[in-house]
Amino acid sequence: MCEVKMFRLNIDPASAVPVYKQAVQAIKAEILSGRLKDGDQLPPIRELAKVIKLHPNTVAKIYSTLEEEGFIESKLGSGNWVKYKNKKIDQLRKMLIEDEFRGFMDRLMGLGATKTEIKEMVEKYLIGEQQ
Amino acid sequence: MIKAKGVSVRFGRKWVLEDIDIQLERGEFVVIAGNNGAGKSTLLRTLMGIITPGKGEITFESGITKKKIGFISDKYSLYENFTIKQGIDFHSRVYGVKEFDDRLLRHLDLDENQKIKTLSVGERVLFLFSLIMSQKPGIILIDEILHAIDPFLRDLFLEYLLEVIERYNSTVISVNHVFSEIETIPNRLLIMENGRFILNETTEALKEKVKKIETREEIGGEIPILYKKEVLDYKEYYVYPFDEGMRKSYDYRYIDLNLTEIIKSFIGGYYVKKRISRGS
Repeated sequence: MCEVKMFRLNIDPASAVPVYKQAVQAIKAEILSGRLKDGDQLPPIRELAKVIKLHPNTVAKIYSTLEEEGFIESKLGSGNWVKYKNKKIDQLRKMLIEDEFRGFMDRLMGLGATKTEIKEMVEKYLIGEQQ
Repeated sequence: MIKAKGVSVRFGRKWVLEDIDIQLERGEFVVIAGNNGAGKSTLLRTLMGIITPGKGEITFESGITKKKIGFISDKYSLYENFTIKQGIDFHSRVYGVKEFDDRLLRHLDLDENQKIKTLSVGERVLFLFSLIMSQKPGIILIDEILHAIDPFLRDLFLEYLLEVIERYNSTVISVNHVFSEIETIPNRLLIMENGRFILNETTEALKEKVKKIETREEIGGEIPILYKKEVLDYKEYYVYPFDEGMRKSYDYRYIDLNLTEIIKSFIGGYYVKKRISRGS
């Protein structure tokens, strides 16, 4: 008997990114970090809706999106499980890193950093890491 | 499904609702916002059947009878002189409730022989919602109660509300001024002004369409401004309807907004129009 894993999701209510997309992204990050493991059972829609204060229809959409993308498996009447292939995780890792990187670059550019400055800083940082 | 067609309500000489058209589907969670006196509570009471419209009609899908509609308001008192037990028994008889769901009341630790009029506002709201929960509601109408109850009871109320919605696929129509806890729940926003709707959009679409610009410049040109606010030496412009093309044509930082800020900008726009029309 495996236990139901609960998790926290940080949703930004101001973001123009739809809530269900933010949650899907957050759950993928939980999987990637290893806090949610292959075979873990996810909370039922009703319970998750209550804990994270989302509309049950939104939670249903979160689960069905994750299922379509191959990260969880739903068994009718018995619940949702984390279930993925390792190849999928590699893809996801790459995607999340790229997303983070793009966000980071946008913020730097927003502060007025030039490409040369950024390049110099990255090189300096990487060299510093090696020492 | 709830459908209002051409619904108008008159109090004395004044039309407080004018030609209201809406159609809401099962499972929708709708917030109605607007300035004080816009007609929000009147609309809820009309949907509930407490007020009969002078014109137009309201229809529900088959299976939604009066017994399947719940109405919660802190101004709405029910069975004041009954004890809790009498209230539950009476309500259950009238609404054909077979099994009263007492889980919420158990959290409150009330005496069932206590008169309902002795309950606090929060306790009364939860008592009322217990009655509604037991009706297996298809439609739940909520009139400005979130601000009236303390954070602990509010949380409890929301949890049970979400459970009921999941269980019965209920449609919720909520009039609110305070949003923080429910920011991410509603799927649709309706804004009223002078007894009419000035906005009916899904929250997803709306978040893409309303943005804020903070700048020291005067914004002219083709950016549609809903509302402008001066803060110190800069200005906040609330843009609606925004489209992605504007980023290319006008190089500003377009800031995303939460639902509370979006609503505030629409209502702010109302007060500006009012001042202009008075010529002050």
